[in-house]
Amino acid sequence: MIEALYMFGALVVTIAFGIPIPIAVAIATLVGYFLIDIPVVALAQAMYTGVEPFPLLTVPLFVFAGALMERGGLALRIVAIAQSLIGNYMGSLGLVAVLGCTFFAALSGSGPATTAAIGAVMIPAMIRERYDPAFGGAIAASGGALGSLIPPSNLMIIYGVVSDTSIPRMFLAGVVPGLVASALLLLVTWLIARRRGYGGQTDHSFSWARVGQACWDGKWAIGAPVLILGGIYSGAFTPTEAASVAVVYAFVVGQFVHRELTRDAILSCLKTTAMISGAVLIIVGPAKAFGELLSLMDVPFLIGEFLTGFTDSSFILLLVIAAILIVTGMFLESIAQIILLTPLMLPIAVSIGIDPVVFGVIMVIACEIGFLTPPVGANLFVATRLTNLGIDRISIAVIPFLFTYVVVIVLIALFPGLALWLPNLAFGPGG
Amino acid sequence: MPSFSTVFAFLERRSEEVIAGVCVVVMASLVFFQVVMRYVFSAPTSWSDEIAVYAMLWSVYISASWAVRERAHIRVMNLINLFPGRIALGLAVLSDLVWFAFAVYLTWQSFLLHLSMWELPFESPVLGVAQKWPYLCLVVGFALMTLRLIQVYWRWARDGILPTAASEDGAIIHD
Repeated sequence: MIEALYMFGALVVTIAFGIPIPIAVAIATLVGYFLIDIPVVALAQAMYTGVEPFPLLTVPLFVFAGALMERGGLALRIVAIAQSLIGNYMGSLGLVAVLGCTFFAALSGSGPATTAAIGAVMIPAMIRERYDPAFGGAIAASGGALGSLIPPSNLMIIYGVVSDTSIPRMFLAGVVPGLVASALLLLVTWLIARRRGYGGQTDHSFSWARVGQACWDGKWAIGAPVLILGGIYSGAFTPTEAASVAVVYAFVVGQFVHRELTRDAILSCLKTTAMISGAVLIIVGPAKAFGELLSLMDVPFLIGEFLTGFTDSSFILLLVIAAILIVTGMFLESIAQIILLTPLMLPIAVSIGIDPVVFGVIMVIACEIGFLTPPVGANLFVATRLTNLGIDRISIAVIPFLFTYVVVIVLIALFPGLALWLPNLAFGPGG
Repeated sequence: MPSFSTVFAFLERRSEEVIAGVCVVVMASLVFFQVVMRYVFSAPTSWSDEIAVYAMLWSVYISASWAVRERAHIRVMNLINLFPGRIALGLAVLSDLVWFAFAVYLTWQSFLLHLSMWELPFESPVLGVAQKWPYLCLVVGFALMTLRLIQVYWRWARDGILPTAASEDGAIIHD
């Protein structure tokens, strides 16, 4: 146990002093190896085998597809559909942004990418209607977080790989919580916009003809989730294959149908994807070694003993675990959080009778809250860049939205059926 | 005929992104190719999976070095930046030094792993690829990372500009 404390100490100190997070995890693992005498070559081995699982390919492929969809004009058409659905209300542009994020989330597996795609269109539009820019940025950041909850979702893929949970099951489990979160975000947006008197002067009143026209113009954008999710649930493709189909679809639509993908745009999408592999997926190897070492030291069991010492109620315990995940999520990058904490926390959750799928959904929402909190909130960085405001302004403006995600966690802890209903309906209970 | 220095400058600037970009294209095409083979030609392949995974491994470790050049690695600089300027700079340099030492050490360890595979050959079950070759991505990736770290400081010494040590911007569009 004392060895594990040294490892955690090394991790905290190295991260706090600015060592890149994957390297910090590797250094903490090295400390453990030295203390209990494991040859260091095992770390090199884990860095290879960690990146070896085939389903991991889904992550860069969905990132690539999402980037191509954004640059290929699908994001714009999604916004147009959302705009046609929302009539002339107080705060209608804010509502359009949330709805646009909800739809784009069904095309994209990434929270920050959804923020970037919808925010790039909607933040300038909101500022033109004299919204407070920080409020606009907060809407895009919090709506964008839906990208990781509504399928497809890169975080759920990572969780599925680490915890050996079925990825299609995880995807379906995110649908209802995602829609609940979306509804709550719409409500908060409307309440704040009404109090501050934003919008409501546009001439876009609701008409079915307009909805029909927008849906027709956006038919290729609507086709993407139909193809991706339909393909997965009809059993036609595995999630990884669906991701490659999404890449080809996004490329063909952007290049030949919308004709908006230039050569430079494609190269920049490739660069983004490759950079994400290097800066983010590199955590997978060291985190695997770190997690295995902690399991070897029986740490998950000890933490479990410690936590169950407080209370017998699985509801309260789940909330305590969620609170821990929210706090660690503020300091860890989301993929790192899932890979590091799943092996530690999942056994505890399972031992008190929580379904791994429910735990996974809560883990993902905790990561989304992490997207919205400094110091490493990825969605905040995107919104900061899109609004040219300081991160402090947006971090404050985002607080009411952040609480909607906390509410969703509490709701799922109270009614696990919110997450389990859809996957059980599709695949039958268990498994 | 381009001069040696232009060729070198191009390689220095672009080689990692070209390799990593090609790997991404290979990954997407091979997985899609497998879908096409299964549905259109009813001839499922198994080799494409294995190659796609090798491409992912190479893209990850090669881009890890590229990310040093672009300062895109995810690091938390908030605590360091609380200190007054010179001390903050000193701490940032210190953390880069620890990183550098680690990169050297890991290059060495992955090289040992690679060498051990010459003595005890180890082949993949499907394609029979000698694993020492895909494992080379670790050696190459960490060696390049080491060189990139040296380069950052060499440029600092030459131009007097430390390429912003505090790059939280790297966290921008990741997941």
